[in-house]
Amino acid sequence: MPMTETSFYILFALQDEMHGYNIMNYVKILTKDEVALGAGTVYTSLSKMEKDGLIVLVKKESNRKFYKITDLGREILETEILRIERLYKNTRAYEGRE
Amino acid sequence: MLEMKTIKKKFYIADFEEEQEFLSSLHNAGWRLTDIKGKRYSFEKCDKEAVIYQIDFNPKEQRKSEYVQLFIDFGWKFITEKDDRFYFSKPGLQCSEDQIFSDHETKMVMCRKIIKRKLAQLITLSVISIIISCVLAFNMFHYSLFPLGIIFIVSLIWLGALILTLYSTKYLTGFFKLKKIMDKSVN
Repeated sequence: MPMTETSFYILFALQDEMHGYNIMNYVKILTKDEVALGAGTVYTSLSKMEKDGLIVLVKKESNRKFYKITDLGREILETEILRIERLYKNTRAYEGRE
Repeated sequence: MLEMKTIKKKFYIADFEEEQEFLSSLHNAGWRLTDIKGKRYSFEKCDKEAVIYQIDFNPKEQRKSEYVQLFIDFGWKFITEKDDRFYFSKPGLQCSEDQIFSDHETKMVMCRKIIKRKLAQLITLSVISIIISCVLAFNMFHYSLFPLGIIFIVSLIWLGALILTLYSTKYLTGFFKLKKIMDKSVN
């Protein structure tokens, strides 16, 4: 099943160890302010992704939880990137024919 | 001394959007929410400001301090917690992340939690009313108040059915409201 844009960016961000607010900032910079993740969205996504084994809790510092991507998460992220690349390539190639 | 006031108002969980609106409009009028006890909302006089209020329904939260910290990091002020509802506020000027949910999926997760809670309430109420009816009916027969008992039981059943219907209507309205929220795209 394709990932949501939110999950994709969070998983992408967590290739480095980060906590919730870091993730939001990282994604904001990465997308040039286009994607501003909400606190509830980040919290809900992190809980779900941890349960699914895509990310893992690394440490806790002053009440902040730091997460990092797991091997399974990396695999899923790679599959997703390939899927998006294929979509992009195919649609662009089609546009070129017209 | 700061001027205070309390307003008595009942909001069901499914009406969280109305509740948010209510709190925002009061802050706009110069009343800042300080606490909620049951149906009583306490406010403190403040400057008239545009402030966004958001409610997150988060039952079974084990680590409240970590959960609240994340929201504080995002610029939210934690006000209070009541029946697993967490109340947050933020000045309306920081327009970029003014909602706690920035995508549809995660908002739907919260709506599903509310539906689950409502369903649990409905089932509990149904079971309780059935048990009460059974106990009463048994007592009536036991004391051989047969003719009078029948009337009593019939009226009890009628009353029970009425309460259940009223509750189901409330439950259904809440459910449809949640469905509407879930169908509506966030952006």
